[in-house]
Amino acid sequence: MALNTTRRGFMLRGMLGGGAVALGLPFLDCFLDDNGEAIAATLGGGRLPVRFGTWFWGTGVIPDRWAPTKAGAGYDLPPQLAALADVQQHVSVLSGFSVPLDGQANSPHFSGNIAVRTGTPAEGWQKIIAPSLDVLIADAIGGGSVFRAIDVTPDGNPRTSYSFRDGNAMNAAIPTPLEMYQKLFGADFQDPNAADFKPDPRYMVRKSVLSGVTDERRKLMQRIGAADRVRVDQYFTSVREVEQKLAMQLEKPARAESCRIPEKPADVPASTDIVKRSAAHKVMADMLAMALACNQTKVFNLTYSTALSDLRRDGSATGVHQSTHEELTDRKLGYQPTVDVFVTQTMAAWTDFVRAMASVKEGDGTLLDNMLVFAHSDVSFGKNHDVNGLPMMLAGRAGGKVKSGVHIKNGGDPVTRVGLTLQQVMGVSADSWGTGATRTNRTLSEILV
Amino acid sequence: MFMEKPFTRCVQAVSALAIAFASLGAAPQDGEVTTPAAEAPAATPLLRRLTEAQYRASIADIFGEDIKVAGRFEPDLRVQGLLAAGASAVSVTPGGFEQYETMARSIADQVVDPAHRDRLIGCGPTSADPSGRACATAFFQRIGLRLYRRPLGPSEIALALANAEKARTLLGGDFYKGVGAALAGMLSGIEFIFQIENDVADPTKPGARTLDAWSRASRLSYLLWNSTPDPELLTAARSGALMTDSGLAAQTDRLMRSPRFMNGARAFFDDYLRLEDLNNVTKDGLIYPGFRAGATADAREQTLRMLSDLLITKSGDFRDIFTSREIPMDGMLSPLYRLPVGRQDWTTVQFSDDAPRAGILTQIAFLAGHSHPGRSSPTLRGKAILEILLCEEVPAPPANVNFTVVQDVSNPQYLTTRQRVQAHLDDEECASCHKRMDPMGLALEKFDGAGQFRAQENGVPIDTTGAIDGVKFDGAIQLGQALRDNPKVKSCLVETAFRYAVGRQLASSDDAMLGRLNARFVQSGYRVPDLIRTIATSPDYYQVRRATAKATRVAQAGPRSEGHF
Amino acid sequence: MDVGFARIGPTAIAAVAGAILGNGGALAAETRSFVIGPIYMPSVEVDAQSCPMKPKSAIQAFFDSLPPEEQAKYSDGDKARGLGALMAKTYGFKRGPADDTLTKENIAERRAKSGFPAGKGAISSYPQRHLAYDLCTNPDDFPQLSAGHQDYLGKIGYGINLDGKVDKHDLVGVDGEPGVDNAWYQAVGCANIARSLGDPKVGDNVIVSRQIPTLIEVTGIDNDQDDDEVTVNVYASARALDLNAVGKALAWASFAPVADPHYTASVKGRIVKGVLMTDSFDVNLRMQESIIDSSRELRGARIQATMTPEGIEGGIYGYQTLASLEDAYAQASTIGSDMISCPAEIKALRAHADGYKDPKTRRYSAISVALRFKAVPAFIVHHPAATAKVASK
Repeated sequence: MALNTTRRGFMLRGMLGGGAVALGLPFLDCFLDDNGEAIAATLGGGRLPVRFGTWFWGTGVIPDRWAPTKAGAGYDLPPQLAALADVQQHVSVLSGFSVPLDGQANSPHFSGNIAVRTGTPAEGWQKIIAPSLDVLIADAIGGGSVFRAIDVTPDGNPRTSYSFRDGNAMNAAIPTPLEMYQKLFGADFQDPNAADFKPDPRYMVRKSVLSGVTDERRKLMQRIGAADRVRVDQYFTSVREVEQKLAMQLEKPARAESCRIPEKPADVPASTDIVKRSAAHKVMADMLAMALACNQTKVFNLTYSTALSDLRRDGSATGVHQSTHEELTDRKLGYQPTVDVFVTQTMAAWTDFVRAMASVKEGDGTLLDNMLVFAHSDVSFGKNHDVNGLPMMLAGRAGGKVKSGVHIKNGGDPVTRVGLTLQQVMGVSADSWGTGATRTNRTLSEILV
Repeated sequence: MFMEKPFTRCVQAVSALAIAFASLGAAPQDGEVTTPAAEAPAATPLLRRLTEAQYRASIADIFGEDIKVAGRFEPDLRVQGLLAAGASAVSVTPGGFEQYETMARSIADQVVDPAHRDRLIGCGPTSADPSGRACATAFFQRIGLRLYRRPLGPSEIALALANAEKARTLLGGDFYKGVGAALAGMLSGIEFIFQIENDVADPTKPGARTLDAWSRASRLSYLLWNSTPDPELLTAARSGALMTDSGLAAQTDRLMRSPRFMNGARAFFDDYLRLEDLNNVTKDGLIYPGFRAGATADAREQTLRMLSDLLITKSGDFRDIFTSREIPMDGMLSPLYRLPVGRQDWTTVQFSDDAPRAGILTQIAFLAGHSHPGRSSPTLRGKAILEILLCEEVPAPPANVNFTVVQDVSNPQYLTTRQRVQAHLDDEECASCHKRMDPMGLALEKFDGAGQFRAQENGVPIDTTGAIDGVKFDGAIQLGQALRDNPKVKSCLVETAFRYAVGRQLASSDDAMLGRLNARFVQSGYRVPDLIRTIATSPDYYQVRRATAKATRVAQAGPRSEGHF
Repeated sequence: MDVGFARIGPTAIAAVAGAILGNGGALAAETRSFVIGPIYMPSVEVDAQSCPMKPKSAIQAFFDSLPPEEQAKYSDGDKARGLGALMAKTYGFKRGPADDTLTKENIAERRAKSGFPAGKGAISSYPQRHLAYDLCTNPDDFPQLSAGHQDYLGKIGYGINLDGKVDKHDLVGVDGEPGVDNAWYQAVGCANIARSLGDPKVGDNVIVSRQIPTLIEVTGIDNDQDDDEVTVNVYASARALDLNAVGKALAWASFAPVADPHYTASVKGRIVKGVLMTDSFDVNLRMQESIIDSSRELRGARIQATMTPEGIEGGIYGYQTLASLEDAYAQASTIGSDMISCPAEIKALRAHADGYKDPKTRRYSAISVALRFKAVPAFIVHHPAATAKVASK
């Protein structure tokens, strides 16, 4: 494999010195307090965890019909954002941020998205040089809950994910509501509000057999190449994460007042039809809200549709992706009508998501108040894969650390300003993010409290 | 005590982690000259993650067909078109490991349960050995050899025994539960989940390195049977026979004579033609009501059966895959082909000489696999032919594709797909790539997005003329003939087979081997078993390069060129 | 066969080919086969004139016969369920134990064993196969429950003129044809079930007898628009109908016919302006649907149906034997007693019967009916081994 020195720069950052070539060492939960809270919310004086998540949809929007014109609070809702009317106070819109490609090719549906997620655009999976920001945030705050992070998609395909440590280590998504239920509320689920708790020795046993240092493993590390060493490290890091999860099962979970165990969902096959997709999405959103409320995780990624968006309508020969490229702009309307419908319905699904989070009471407010959700797409205008003015939104107030309901109307700054802000809010120690033209140290003061 | 004080736990956790990582070796950093290791670090990848099929087959072979393996495997990664190549690029993510751990426990629980333990363990605690240590030792040695595909070292045995004993204590003294827990640990181990290769000095070439006997056994077995080495192959490894040409040839021939060779061949064909992608193919039920749930799985099976029959069972000419009129058929697919069948399960039918179908390009797996849910796509089909069959990389389309001549499906001027995609060829920038892809795909336009035949589109007859590399064709049969005669198709197959066998991207040092394989393939009359045998018995197949060699041929791989069509 | 925009029938092509090849243009005649999905007795919309009174169900008739004090006990929802049991008790209905081995051959012996009156009782199959004696197996024993019947008095109905005569009591067809013979509809057209399941909006989309569908084979087609001689074969299928991706009958599947002469029939016909019309023939159509395992035995039947690229759809018209109709009722046993009255309907059917007078009893043994059906293209495979080499698209 090609030796990639730019990747090494990022690898070194996480080193323990000496022998360990470790990527983003897991944040040891022993440094957390008894309740496993990394960042305490100040909302209502309670100490509630702050969660982070991403919500992704593919093929962008029709910018003229999506981006508000008025900046600040009380922004206008253009037609494609009309669905947000009831939840507008929770949602901030970030328009006008762009991806400077700095001479790189604009790999369609890819480069821009990688820049948003990792801080630097890349032309291919093998050229990605940094982990996605959700992974960095999970490293910082993921401990203390059963899962460091949860990746889900309603589209039925486990490869639908933009969460990764590197281009070869994509975190597969749970692709159906039923599997999501089985993972989050299945056999290993421990009700945090259960009256009595008895640690199950089987968790101790499971944990104890997972890692062990043998002569063979030592010799292995010495004789394999650098690329293989990275992979072995990733394997052991994953083992470590599961061990920590098992260790948590041995302790009485902290009470979670808003935790209610959801109903097991029906086993409905996944569909590319947008109506059916939105229905499956809603089930997953509601379940995710409970997973967060029950402290199953504090970090999540939900991919509503892939970057290339396989969404379509039953009975239609053409899906949204093809429509973005091939549909004529209607002369009277001034835009592509089919694309418009798909974007509008996607924004309605986003609204479902926001509502699901806002409907769970927690502390003096709601679950959404104690969350920060980052919604974005891979392009702005699907037709020409434009990565200027990438559509991005935030929902929630991160426990009081950010304002919501604000439109930031930017004039072309790199998207990394957003990612940097998110990381800082969530406790990742980073004073700058990105490389080359995307490098920035400026956060979004408009939303910081 | 399970409830440890947080601080103590913290100290222990940190120390454990530090020890674990530090003791994994003072790994030399890139570019540094170091001395501790005996050899320079390997330049070729030495770890390959088992695919889902390989994992399942291995468990079945080691513990029996009735052991259930349930769980979701981490998706395999396709690198330059092959999952086998991705095996040497991937690791295991936390979500993925969670699944492996769950599966490992489930398998181990079955192995030690009363229904299986007599057959699979065959001993237990006795009055002379109340802790069962002797039994456990024998079991771990025997099973460890199968799981790790090499003998366990003393520290590995010691670890397994310690784990078993600790578990037994925690679980109330049950010997089998203890063994089961340790076994689950081994099944979760990197040594099982990955093929880990080890190299030794090459006795035939001073200064060179070659895979040791255990690694050879592993490679041979996963290549030829897509599963773990059987006891006889392990014996051949232990005796050193696999380090000799004759020993290697004998085992290769044994494995290839076995009916199990079909599994290995099918796994190769499946990866070569990227048939796993069919799992994600859906068709619009309103537009193609004949394409039922289960059609993609049967279509995959159909193509695999056809290739196996033709190329392995009959040891036929590889080129015939483009022109053969014989096709396996079942009741799920026959309506799509509009063919009568005398039975619903698999049978073989023959297209008549005037039928419009022959060869793999006219099979549903290819046609429906490279189409949209509701319509055909000459570009997707043309691209598949270029990438899969001609080994030509298609660059990603430019980001700001110029669609000023917009194609409109309902435009009365554009009644056929050919008319609609004409804009690809009218625009110079688009044509540079599309003129290689679209004509071949357009030759297949008499088959709709579900692979069903149609003579017309919107009332207009379909024009299926085109050319590739100067060879003209009209329709699918002639396209098949053109590909049959195209030299790149053969060399692409050879290259793909070799990449599949080595499970990694190619390096410039592979050129000589490829040259020999190509020559041999032609000589043999394009016989695939011969090609596989040549690979398996070539010393070059087992060579391992160390870091002082030149950098590998850098992958040109762009993003998965999913494109805008 | 299409060439450009003009429709040129095979005969014309044959003539051209013949001129070129000089062989007189003999083209192999075509066979088109189909498998039936929906098949049912269609009904028209009724109104106060055509059905002045709603026919009474058996339960209703029984309820009406009770003294007021008894009626009060069963006047609302939950309590009404007890009516069925009371009716059974009052009239001495019998129900034998579940017995999978019951057949028409051993029924006499089983009746005796189960204490059924001699010659009474029939095989019913819900929820398990058992002997039953009740108002549907032996309607003549329960004339009291046949009160409140309403004949269909309307003038319009589906069907064709089967007897060649235009009688006063004949119906007028839905397309205006006079002399339509559909006495079945006149007998039971006002009943709920006939109305709901017979509505084409419903019936056209409900697959009937899916486990044993009917196959239609049209052979000797020289011209699919106008052909003065074709042969139509009708079979029962040995294999169940497949459903396509949207739950309708799957086109182009392959079926083998059941080798039972009772369910095999053949008749000559012609195609006129695209409509297939057969001569008169006897045909028995297999009918296995939920609780009924029976057959529609038709005498003097004709098929009139249109072939399209989607398949063939139209009607089968003829005289269904009362025996086969009554067999279906008997199998239903008391199911549906709250919607219809078996004694009432069977009595009406017998009264309206208009075909095939039995010389001994001097009574009509069959009644004119109209069936509507839709079929999709299929392959009928008579010789499984021969399909290995085929011409295909």
